[in-house]
Amino acid sequence: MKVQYRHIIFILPILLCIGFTTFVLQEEKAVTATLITKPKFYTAGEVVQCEFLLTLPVLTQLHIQSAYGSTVLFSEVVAKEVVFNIPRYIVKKRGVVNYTLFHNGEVLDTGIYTVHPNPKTTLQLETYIGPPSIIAGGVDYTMQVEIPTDGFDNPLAEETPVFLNHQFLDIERSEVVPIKNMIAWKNIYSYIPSGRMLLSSTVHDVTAKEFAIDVFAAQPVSFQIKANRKHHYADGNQITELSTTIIRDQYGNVVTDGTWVSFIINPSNGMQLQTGGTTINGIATAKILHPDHKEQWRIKAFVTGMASSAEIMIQYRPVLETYPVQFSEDHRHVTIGPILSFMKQLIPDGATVRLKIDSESRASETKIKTSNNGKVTFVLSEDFYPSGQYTFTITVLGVTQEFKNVRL
Amino acid sequence: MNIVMHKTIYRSLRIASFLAVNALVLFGIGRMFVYLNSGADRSSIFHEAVTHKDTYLPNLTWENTENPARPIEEQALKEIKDDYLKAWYVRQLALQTNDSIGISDFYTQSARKNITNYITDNKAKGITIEATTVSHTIDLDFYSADGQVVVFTDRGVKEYQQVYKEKQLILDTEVYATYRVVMLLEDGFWKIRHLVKERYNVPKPQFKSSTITSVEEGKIFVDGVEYFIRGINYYPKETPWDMFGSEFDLDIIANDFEVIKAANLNTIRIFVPYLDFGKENVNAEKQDRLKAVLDIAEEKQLKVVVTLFDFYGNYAVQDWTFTHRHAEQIVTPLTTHKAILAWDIKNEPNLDFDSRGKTQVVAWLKEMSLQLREFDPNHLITIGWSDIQSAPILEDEVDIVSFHYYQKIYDFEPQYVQLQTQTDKPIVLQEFGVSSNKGFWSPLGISEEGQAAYYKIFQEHIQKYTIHSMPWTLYDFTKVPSSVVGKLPWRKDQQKHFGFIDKKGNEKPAFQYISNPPSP
Repeated sequence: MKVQYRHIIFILPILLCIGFTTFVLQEEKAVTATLITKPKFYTAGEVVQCEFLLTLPVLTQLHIQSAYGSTVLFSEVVAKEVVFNIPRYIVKKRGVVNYTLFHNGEVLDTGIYTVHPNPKTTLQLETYIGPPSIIAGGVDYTMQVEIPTDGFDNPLAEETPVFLNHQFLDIERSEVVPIKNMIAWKNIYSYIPSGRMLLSSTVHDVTAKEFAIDVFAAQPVSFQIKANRKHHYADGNQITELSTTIIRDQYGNVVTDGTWVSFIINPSNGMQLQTGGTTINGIATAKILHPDHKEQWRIKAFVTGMASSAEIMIQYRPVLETYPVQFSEDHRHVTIGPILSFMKQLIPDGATVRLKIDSESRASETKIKTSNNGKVTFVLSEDFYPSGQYTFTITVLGVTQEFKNVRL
Repeated sequence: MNIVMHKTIYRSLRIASFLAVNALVLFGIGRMFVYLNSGADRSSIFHEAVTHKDTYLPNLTWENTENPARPIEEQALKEIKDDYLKAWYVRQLALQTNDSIGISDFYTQSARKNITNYITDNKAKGITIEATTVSHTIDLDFYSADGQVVVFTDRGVKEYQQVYKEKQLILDTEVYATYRVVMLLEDGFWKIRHLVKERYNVPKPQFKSSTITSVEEGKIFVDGVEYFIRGINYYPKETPWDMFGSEFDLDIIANDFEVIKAANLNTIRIFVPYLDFGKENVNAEKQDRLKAVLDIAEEKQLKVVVTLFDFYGNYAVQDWTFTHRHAEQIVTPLTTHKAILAWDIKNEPNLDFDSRGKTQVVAWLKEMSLQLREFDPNHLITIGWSDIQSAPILEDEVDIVSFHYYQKIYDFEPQYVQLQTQTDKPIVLQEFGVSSNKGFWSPLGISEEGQAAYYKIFQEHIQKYTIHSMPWTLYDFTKVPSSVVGKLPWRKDQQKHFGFIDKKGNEKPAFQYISNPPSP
């Protein structure tokens, strides 16, 4: 049969159609991939390549997912063999990396590889210690937590030995703790004495810097107090100093400086006075003014909620038995004094003098003045105190004199 | 004259330049004020945006909180949980936007550069990644004596990712992994110090077989007895598409159920709107109403197909955990409810393929089916596809293959036969029907008699192939919300006349063909 143009016109499109159809079908059917790269485990920082063999040369992409994020790598050439270089920032990090090779949204291969930490890099030790102060006696403890990492900031492999060291007074100890759950930790118990403990740690040849823990004395136990005064007189002028013996805990450690001690003073009139102070070298001192009248104080000290002292009792003797009182002619000037103290010396300035004025016609009134050169003068003005019968009660340093029916 | 002119020009120039200089000075001062008031909003120091908003709600359970170091307090567990999940959230956000905002709040200085490396790389390549995790199961390994260091293992984390290049989806993938985590308490935030991913071998899902409802060899069983669906889609006459709203009336619903029962039907299909039910914080009142409806159904011996996520249309990966919490709250209290036959995950989700992407929608549905199985092992799961062509999608995930049929009636048979070859699971014709809307808006529409004829033919198909069927719908409606079919009056009008009972409460001619339907 002779080939004519019209035959070609008919046949050519059919041939073309068959040709293209086959090609398209082939591609859709056949792309599969095999991973050539064999290792499944790498050390952080190594070069990691994923190489795949495809059944057809197509453009593929590789989805990478590690702990901190995901990205996609794109193949650059249409080829049957495709190599993906995993970015360095991904291969530096410890852990599993998932990869998915895909082409046109179709997954060709998935898998994982694992990156192990690299102990050959410069290691780092991160130390967390807390609490920073503990109590002596061997019951309380602080916790030393080490997170050793490699040079890429990856936690080191489990079971890596970490040396946890501490020094306290003459004691120097070191213990090997294997890493578990990415950390190595240990409870460090206090010893009987108080003081300062130093801690450090070592992994391979890398040593962490030193950390200090304060070991404070435990709770104080009962103590004694004493009163120290210049004289025994209730002059309202001198100061009594109260002080404790050295306050210690049950192990004999002197309590921490600054421990507050309250001194509770019970006078005979049923009221309560209080003073206090903080300890220095275990001794707390507190001061209080002498009473200005004959008095007996029962004193007890407390470290609130923890310890107390035995009670002591101190007596204050009166400084005077009596004192002169002079009235002017019209009785409107009342002069008290000279007030003489226990050695017949003039009482120091500032002694309180009370004048209580009573009369039938008006409410009771008390005037208060302080002594100057041993004397006090009250002036009762006519404007305020009209003429009549008055009763005056004068009290100086706990000594009272009464003057009845004084006529103004 | 000339001189006067010049003077005027000169003067006006002087005034103009004076005004201009003043304007410039004022403008300058203004800019200075603006500059001084710019910068970080003062409230940002409280990190309100990330700390006080529900942004990410995957399920997190503490499986074991015993650890050798220190007993942990409830409060600390809560804080660690919150900050750990937020760490995931900010990282996902960072990879989605290629912006490291918020990372510094939940990652320590050494850890955050691992994330910024990815961001820099992905930004250069135009890659963005939308990801979510579904659940976290945590074993506490260590909690330090001073409460500043915590180490835990997050086992079997399932992470779903959609990878985009230049905003085009190029891959969606699911990865299971176990994470070892070290967190430190810094500035009041628990921050991730180390994150190490480990291999996790995915266990084969084990679904408990239930005696309440089950599917065996293509048949539905309820309480061990084979069940054939002769059902109907149901909305109350006066409150279509708003069944649980303010006009909720249990008496009306009870009466309607009586009507349905009297028509010898055994199943109804109802709808739970996502937004109206309160999204991730389900409204307790609405939930009570749903329970009340189900109780009535049980009383009247009707089974119910409950369609969830009505009017939901987001499907975005960032929204997954919110929808999971919604489903959890709706489903969990009803796991043993005798009235429920099946959970229909979503009504006609394939209609969202164009706008939201088929991959995105299907991925959401797939995960939701797994979630529902976890929450409720007792009831069946289905998806109400809007056409028969979509019915085989996710066939493996559902118990019942459901589809809606509104195409030409004479095309039904061949397509149904075709679908039968594609699945061994029970097939439910979950919606079908025709509107008898002949009238002003549709002069050439179908009359009530035509509607009856349509159902007559369909009834023959149903009989011939013993099809589980649920026509649309019991009532004609007087009002149809615009959110259903849009605002166009002729479309609304069509939607008003699908019922078997007209607006006056009279049975339409089609009623005889849905009542007393054939049994196999």
